[in-house]
Amino acid sequence: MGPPFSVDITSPNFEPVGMYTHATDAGWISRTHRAIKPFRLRKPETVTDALGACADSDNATIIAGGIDLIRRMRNGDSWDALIDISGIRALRGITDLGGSVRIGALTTHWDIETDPVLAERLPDFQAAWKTIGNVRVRMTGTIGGNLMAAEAGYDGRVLLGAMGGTMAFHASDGEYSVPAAADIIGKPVPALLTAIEIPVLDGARLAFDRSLKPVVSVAAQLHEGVARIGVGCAFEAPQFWTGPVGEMAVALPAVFPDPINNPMGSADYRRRMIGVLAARLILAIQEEARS
Amino acid sequence: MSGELAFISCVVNGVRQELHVRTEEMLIDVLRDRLALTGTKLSCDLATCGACSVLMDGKPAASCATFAWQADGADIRTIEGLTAADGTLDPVQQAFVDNSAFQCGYCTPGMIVLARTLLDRDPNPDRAAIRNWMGANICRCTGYEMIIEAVEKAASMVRADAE
Repeated sequence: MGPPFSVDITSPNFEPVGMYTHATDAGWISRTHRAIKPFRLRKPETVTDALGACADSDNATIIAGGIDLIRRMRNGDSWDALIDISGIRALRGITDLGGSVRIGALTTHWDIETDPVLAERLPDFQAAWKTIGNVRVRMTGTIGGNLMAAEAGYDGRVLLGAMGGTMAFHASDGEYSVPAAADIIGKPVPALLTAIEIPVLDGARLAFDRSLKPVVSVAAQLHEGVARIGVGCAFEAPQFWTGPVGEMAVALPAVFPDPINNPMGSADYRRRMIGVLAARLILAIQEEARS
Repeated sequence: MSGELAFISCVVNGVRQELHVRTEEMLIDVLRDRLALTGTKLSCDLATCGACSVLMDGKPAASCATFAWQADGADIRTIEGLTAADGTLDPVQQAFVDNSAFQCGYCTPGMIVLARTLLDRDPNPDRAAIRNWMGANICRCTGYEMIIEAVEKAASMVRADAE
């Protein structure tokens, strides 16, 4: 199809862009200009139904807030079916489990930043999560969407991995849990992320620096002399290191694979800044503890 | 393959709307093309700039990146819906006029809607809070200072109305 003003609507090859055949299709009114391919919509109300809907199609995906998925569809990705899980109430809510806090996968970023349980039990995490996205994204986007999008520039897994968090999945063959810092978080069967669980450790402190985003972001947790470092943006997937804080300076540049090398930042720069930011964060935590 | 039609029922600017929409149809297209609410502007088409912002159940939503079916059951307010039936402008709208907080004006509906969501939650935001909140939207003309000042003025108007 040529430009809008040359469309021949009498042609047998003409296909309306949307459901109209008026000025919008001719381009005179600002219809959204990157059309999304048609898809079937399913709206399950339970996790089991959602997994069933996924299994019904060879090319289906999950949508919750839609922040990431719609952007991907705008960029040309397409699916035969979208499974809208926003109506599954069991996936919402934040619960204090005593030794940990459970966050439902459909919990929005805004819910996280305003939740009183998190303010009391995991204030460092809440403060760090508040820096993700802008207010429009935070009020619509979900923690589950952030994690499952698996975008190199997203920091959800960086933070959760640094805190020893785990991701709970409901799969067609049962339920399982995976550390957020694991290399592979999926299974070769339909599975739905249902919740995230974060341990509450006495005396643990978390610090986060995304000032160099999208080149590199670093999260650091210090607990009883053990540092857990998460690194985002610099690799295709977040990288993690855990060890005695005294060994961090030597270990950090060496343990990770080669960083991304692009016009945003060279691999050498990223490699160097990982160590710099991690050291700054640990130092800040230690100085605050001393004061 | 072809998509599907979905039936949605929502309230737009206080009026119940019941429509069949294609699953791939965006909320902004329904608002602009079917309901003739052209105050909502399409710009980046990627939910980045915020020009297409509308209030959806009191939250700012990028209508260019919201499927129309996601608005089923929602209470939606566009820039047109902020103005009272007698034509009285919302305090945020009035403050933008008073402060000349626009140049080309294309981003203004989204800016006003976004500011409205801030003042609904915090009628007394400090400048840092305003800057942080309004950072969700992009203006390519004003340099932002007049927008920030307009939101400060709107906040004072809202507080005065409440007293």
